[in-house]
Amino acid sequence: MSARLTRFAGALLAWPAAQAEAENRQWYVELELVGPCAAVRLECGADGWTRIEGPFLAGEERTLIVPVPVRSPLGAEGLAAVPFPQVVLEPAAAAGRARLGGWASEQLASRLQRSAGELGVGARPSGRSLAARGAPAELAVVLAAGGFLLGLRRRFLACVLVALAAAGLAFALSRGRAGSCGEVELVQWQAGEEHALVLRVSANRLALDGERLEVVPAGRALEFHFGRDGRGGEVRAEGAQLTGLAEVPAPSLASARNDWQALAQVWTRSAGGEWSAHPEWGVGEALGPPRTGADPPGWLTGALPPGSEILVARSQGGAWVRCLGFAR
Amino acid sequence: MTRRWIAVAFLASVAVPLLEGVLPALELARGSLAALALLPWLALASAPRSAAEPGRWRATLYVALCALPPLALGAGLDLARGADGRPLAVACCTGWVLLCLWTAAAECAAKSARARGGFAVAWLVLVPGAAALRVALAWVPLREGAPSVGGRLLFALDPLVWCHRWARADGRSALAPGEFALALGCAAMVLLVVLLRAPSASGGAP
Repeated sequence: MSARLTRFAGALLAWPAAQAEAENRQWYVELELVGPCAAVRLECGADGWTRIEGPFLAGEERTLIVPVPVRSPLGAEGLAAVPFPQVVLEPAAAAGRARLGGWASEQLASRLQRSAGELGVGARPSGRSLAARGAPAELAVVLAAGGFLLGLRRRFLACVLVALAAAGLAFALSRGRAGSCGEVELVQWQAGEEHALVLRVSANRLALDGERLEVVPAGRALEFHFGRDGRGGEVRAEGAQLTGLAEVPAPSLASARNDWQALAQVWTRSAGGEWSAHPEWGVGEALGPPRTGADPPGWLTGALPPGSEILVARSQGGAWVRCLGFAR
Repeated sequence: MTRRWIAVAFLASVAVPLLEGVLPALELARGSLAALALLPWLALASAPRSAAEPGRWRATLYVALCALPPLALGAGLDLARGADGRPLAVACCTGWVLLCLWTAAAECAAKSARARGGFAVAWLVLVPGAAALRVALAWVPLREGAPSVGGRLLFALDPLVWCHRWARADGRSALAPGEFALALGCAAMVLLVVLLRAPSASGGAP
């Protein structure tokens, strides 16, 4: 009953998000820069900004291709209609100059979009439910403390001790749940395809090493931070869920042999929709026989195409993998 | 504040982490869980009372102590979700002191009819009144180019609006230092006025 209720609540909450197509917020511009200045900012109004940290020396000339967090409802084709970011040198009195050469001729997101059909991205996880949650231990501590505090109202000193002890314990336990909300990586591909899609999902900040960036809630102002060479960037947006997408070679996994990485947890789904757990799957080994065990995490099993065999696994490094059309 | 209302506030303050913990597919909070833990306390503990508790300062501290475990749980989960520690600590401390001040004002005002009337008017204007005005103004489209900063600062006088802004997804970074000062200053002023209007009311031991 509770599992059914959970599924229903999840589906109900995920429905509006599933209706809205995620937009890319990583569009590249060509920036021509002549020093000196300490840093350059590309202001995109309410959409946020990109900051390239210097210093750039006097006479130093740079041509950089950097992303800006503008919103383009019509995608790459609609960029021409999007207002250009405003270039601001820091400090304001800097003698250098900078100008935007235009939108970059090749937008990485478009390349990814062209190959998206082959990767089966339509069945990707929403990334919801990744944030840290209270575990039964701290929830029980807080609820028990509430009961004691109500019962011990006339014993003030006991109330002080119970409240402080419960608060300290609940804080220590709950802040330790950080592991569940760090960056989550998912590699997904269609069996038989050469390429896979890798998704990195994180709250608040994410390395800008993908080809496409999606943000929930949509429209949030983003801050892009880059070093001098325009590489090694990071996107920051407090309270937002950030998803970076990139294309990588598909893992070499077949039920007869694992030529990729050791997998610590493995599940398969039959065409009929039944999930089975499998033992650890080492490199060079065949997939083990089905065994009884817990189901895979719910965020990985939602919105999957029916009638298709599927592999869900977790590598020993912590990355999740999902293969659509995986033949057992 | 009666035991029944304390129980209601306590359950409301742990409802979000409890539901999210029990139902894995459920996501209720994108912003601060600490703010959501404090919001029911600010709403219920600041309300005017018809009868005074035997020891007003002790009653105030008791309410503040009851709010501590849910607040600590929310703050811990906020940290686990990637919140910056220092702004979170500042917001938590401000919110907790705000709760103490408004609860103390409500408890002290209950001692005398004169103070009770004055506090009821102040509470009506500054807590539900300002919150209702904020909601109403949110439905009215802002005139093109109209500055909104002043209005935002003004609404920090209301502890509910202040806490709600903190609970939003971008709340911790959106709250300006002036809003912290205004929220605390307003609560301290209300308490001071209540104490001046009820000078003869005898309080319990702190």
